Amino acid sequence: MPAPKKSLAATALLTDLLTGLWTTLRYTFKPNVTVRYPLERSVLHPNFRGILRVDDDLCIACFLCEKICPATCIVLEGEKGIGKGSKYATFFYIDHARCMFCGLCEEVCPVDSIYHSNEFEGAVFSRADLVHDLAILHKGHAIVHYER
Amino acid sequence: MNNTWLSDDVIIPLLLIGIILAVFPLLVGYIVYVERKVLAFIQSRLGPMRVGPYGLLQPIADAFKLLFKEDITPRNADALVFKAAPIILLVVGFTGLSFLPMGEGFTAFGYDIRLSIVDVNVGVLALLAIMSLSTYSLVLGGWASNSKYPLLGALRSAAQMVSYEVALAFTVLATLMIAGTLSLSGIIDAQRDMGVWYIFVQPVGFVLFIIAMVAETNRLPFDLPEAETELVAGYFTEYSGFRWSFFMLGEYAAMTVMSGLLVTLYLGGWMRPFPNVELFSFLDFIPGFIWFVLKVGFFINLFIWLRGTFPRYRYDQLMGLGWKVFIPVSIVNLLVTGLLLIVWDSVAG
Repeated sequence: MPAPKKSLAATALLTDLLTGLWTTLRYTFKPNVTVRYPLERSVLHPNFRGILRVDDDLCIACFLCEKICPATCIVLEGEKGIGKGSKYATFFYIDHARCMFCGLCEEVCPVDSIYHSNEFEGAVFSRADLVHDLAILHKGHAIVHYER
Repeated sequence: MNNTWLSDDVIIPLLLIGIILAVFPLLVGYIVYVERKVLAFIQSRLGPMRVGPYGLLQPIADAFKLLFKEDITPRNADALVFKAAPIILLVVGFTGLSFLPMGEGFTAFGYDIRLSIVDVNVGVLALLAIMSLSTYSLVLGGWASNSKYPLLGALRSAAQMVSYEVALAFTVLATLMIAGTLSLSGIIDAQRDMGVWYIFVQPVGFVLFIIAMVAETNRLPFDLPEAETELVAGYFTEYSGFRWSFFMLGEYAAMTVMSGLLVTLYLGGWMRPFPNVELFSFLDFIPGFIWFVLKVGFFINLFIWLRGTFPRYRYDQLMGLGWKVFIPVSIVNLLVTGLLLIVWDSVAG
């Protein structure tokens, strides 16, 4: 596409340059969008897919999450309890080093037991600490917040 | 006092030189701070915020960091020239500062103090000549680094400076014809006598001067000698620590000097707006030095504003703009100014 033709007057009066300068001047006085993260934190959307949690009272050990996980980061084992429909998970491991936070496990879970929390601060010093067992999955991992 | 030459020509200038040498590096630190802040605001960011309230101590932290950096000379570099180049730029920048009339003279402790270190009768010529020397620093520094990117930056700076200096000189010449003097304080006095700033007499020259000044100081959108996206850091790629900061100081000193020259030539230097109109005499309580600082500050801000707005020119566009637009327009401006002066003189006299 050829450049639009400009009149000689527009070229001589530098209208394009002045338009650009006016744009940047307006932006100079607009409120900034920076969130100074450790000091302030932005409000997350409720659907934000953060670190996985499991409510093991609800879990029926149906293995659907383990099957659908594309990264195969979920490993669990279950056994039958007393009475009908009383199957429960005996152990449940999620390796957050492998997890890609796709949310498929949350979608497939028939009893809404596994879910993404709104928590995103999962940094640890050892990769082994990223594997969360049932206890951590139930109550959430220990979060160290930034302090001055 | 019997030995006034001693106080007028030696002691007071030396004191002023001392003050400038002491204050200006700190000032440059804060110009860099303002630059980072303004660029950040243009991009809806915050800029430096961590060191001190609103990041106000950031320049001091940066200066300390630079002090502790290793001073590296590349193995195959020409060591003497490599080390001399940043010093040339710094000396040129500071020498340029000494020409600017920064305020009206005043009397303190029985001495007359002029707020310009030297006031030579060929001030404009001397200032332009000295500022042109900064090209030597860039070319020598780029060549002595014995590295490819600095050499390319040096070559670009040589070609760019030469092509824009011509336009700058022609533009300034038109102003000098109106003022009838080469002295910087003389030009300010001529504007007072005329009653208007020369920006209203030379609007084309004013715009030409601004653009040539940006090209002359290697600032965006004409920063091809540095061009960090193409040439790493251009002519000072191989420099580190204090020698690197000499280049930065020199660049900001050149910005300040060119802004000061612009203010002196077109905006009445340290005079208040409308210097002859009684209506605005309530502005007299602000000393000339403050007016000078405000005007120069505005143009340093303009440098930053331009940097935040325009992308870098391509090299052939830069040369084309210089040779095909600026030089012809500045020559036409000069001719028209001369013609109008002749007509004016024959009408008035």
